[in-house]
Amino acid sequence: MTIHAVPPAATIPEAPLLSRESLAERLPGLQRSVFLLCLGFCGDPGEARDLAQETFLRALSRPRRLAPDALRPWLLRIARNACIDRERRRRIRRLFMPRVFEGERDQADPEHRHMRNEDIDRVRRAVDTLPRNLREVLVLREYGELNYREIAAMLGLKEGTVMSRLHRARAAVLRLIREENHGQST
Amino acid sequence: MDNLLDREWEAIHGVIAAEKSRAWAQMPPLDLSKDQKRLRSRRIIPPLAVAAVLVLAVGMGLFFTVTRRGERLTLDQLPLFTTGSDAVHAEPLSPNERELGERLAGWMVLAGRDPARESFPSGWLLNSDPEVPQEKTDGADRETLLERFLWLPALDQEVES
Repeated sequence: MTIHAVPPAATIPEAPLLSRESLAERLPGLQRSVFLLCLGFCGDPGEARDLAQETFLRALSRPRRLAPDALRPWLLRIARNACIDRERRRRIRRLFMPRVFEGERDQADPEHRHMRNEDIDRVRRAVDTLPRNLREVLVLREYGELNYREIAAMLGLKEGTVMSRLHRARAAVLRLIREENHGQST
Repeated sequence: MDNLLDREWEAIHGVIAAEKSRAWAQMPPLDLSKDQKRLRSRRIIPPLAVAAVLVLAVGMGLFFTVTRRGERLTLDQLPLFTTGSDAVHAEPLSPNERELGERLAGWMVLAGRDPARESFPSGWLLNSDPEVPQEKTDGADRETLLERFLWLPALDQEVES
């Protein structure tokens, strides 16, 4: 009878604690990802820049134990939360100061507004019209460039749910754009 | 149907990619050193603000306690009451007199005394008529006090309660 020795359970090394300094060194490489995700949520490059800055500020204020490949999803989660917080504040402002809010939208980053073409505006309007649960998945995929697994982990969903919502979001955007095109042509 | 959707989506995907490229190309690099400074401010300012508020609150409390406690009014400073009759009655008070009366009530409260319930020490207040015997001015009773100070909101509430 052969007795096989049971190997000791593999010890998982603890993820290194990222000091503020080491985090600050790695963040510049993730600026693009964070900025584009914020752009997807807010639709305005100037505001996206502010949100990206806020994201990095929040990240620097809370060093974490992170595996090397977990830094990007962690940072994008912070960015998503910053965007949600801003959207919540805008909704409250819109409720109590609707005129001020309208002026704010019209003046949002005028330097960039004239550079956007009609196609971008059309897609932007369609995305903004989506229900929140669909818009979020679409933005994380198309702007944040996250894969299904990462999106599922961030939102606490199953991958199948993510795929389903993404499909519905794309179909809704296409339908809205077709309706707008049809409306313009008639 | 899904293939059609995927093909149509390619065009939208291209538009989104163009939007991303354009926005990123126009965005100046973030200055993360600015974030370090803001972070230091965020770490320092809230505790400083809390400390400042605490110091101010304690300081104001001490100030009002120290400056108010131990003050005494002389009869000359309190021309509040009429003279010449057993029943002391209130006359319309001037703004200065009202202010003095409010301050008096406030000081009594600070000294732990209830101006609506307690009597004033003899000679401390009110009736400056030398014809009225001293014992009649001792311990002005509650009703008399209320008659004199009914315009003080705190005393009104005492009456109602």
